[in-house]
Amino acid sequence: MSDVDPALADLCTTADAIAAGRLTSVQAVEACLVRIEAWQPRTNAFLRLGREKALDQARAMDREIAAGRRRGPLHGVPMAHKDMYYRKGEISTGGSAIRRDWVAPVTATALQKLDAAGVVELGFLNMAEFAAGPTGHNVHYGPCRNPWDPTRVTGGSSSGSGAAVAARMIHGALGSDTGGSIRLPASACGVVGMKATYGRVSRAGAVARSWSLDHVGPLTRTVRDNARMLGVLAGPDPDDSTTSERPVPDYEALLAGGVAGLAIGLALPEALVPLDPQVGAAVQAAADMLGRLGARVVPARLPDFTALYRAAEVIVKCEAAAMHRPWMEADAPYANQVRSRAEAGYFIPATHYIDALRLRAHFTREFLDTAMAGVDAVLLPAIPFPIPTIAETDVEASGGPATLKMVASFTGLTRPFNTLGLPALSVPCGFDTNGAPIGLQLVGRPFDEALLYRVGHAYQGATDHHRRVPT
Amino acid sequence: MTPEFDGPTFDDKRLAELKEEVEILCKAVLDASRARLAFDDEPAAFASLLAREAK
Repeated sequence: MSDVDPALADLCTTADAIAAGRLTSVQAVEACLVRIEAWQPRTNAFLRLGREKALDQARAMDREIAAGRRRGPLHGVPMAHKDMYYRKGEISTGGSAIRRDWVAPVTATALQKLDAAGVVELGFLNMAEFAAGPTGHNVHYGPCRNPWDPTRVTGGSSSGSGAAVAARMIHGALGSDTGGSIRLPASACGVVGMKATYGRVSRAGAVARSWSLDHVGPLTRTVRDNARMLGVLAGPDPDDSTTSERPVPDYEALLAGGVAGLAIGLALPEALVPLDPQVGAAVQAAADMLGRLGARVVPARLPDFTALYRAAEVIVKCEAAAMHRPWMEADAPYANQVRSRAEAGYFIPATHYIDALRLRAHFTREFLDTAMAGVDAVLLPAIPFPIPTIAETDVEASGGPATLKMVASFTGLTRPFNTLGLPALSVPCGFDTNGAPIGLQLVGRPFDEALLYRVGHAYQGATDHHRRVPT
Repeated sequence: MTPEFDGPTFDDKRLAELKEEVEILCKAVLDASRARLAFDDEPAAFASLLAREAK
């Protein structure tokens, strides 16, 4: 790898080069630091950069490799994470002013697993305040900017994760997803994001937005990278009782299956949200490509999500209202839109909250019996329109009905799969006329992340959207 | 619905907005519940369904 900028190599290539002694972890970290120096002023992706600590970690990783010890499949790889994963003894802001100086008392399970696999942590990344917001705005730390066009949003709430991975500042990042917060920035920034099945990845030690709908997951440059990272993150955790005991497959080993013989349901759901023709054409072209690769592509009929949307709002608002009550009663410094989105939760009867939770099984059953009947996965867009500008979506500054409607429609095609608990993978599938990325979304049956990766990997093997680098 | 009964306090204008928002949400959930839920449905059925339908 001596003649190639190590920061431009993907996660798996970097990890394998370190393991084989062709690259040191220090070289990998230094290359990322050069990228960060160039791209941080343009993107505002990092909230905190731990340069010396990361270099110390990298030197330790290199000593271990020299001694014949490899911690795991991510040994020596530089990453950074959404600033909501607790690291014991370190500040963790959750993107908020309230926790600007708060020091975490524990380390998140996801970080513990990445530590055990050998990841080098470069720092923590920008995000929507308390993971509440789909665009990447943050009134306390400034908006995160899209590497493809700094006037445009990154998507949120894992805004820094999407921007930093896309700009090749890091090889992978943790995000979290309550209504699309991994898949939206993945789509808007042209990277890969996985929201796995509810219970597949531990949420312990991560700031909650809604305990019932939150999902922890990886953002990476390629599907293979994502499969490797999820393989490290997935599995049961005694600190999160919602995690599944189900064995974790070797996702990376299962990538090579191809799509021949698979049935893919294509949904271009105009009835749910208005779909921009550019986005529809890009997803249709992806479906055509999967067809040429041997998949049987058939129309998918999505159920009416109107009631599901409302039930999800009830769940999020009630849970957010409960956890934020002490700060809200004290009139703590929230952004207006973060505060206002939770306030209704104080007035929703407990019976309605419980009924919303009881409805989830019915909604999931209906989706499996309709959209997924006879197919292995459903293909649909992630974001239904071209990526808007930061100014167009600034609800704090303008907040007019059109702005609010656009922000709400951001999540129209991602939110349902948090309530349904189903795995959903976002993969780059093109660029709009503004030069901003377009992402597709693949939705699967419970715990069938391996199949989604298999489809996404086959697609990336036949396309080059994921290889383009913002300049 | 009064400002005192639970949580933070709100002025009358905001209370009116919240009342409207809550009514929409509650009606949707109530309608969906009446159409789908039976006595024995419990929230944990969701996790059981994911496990049962796992691939």
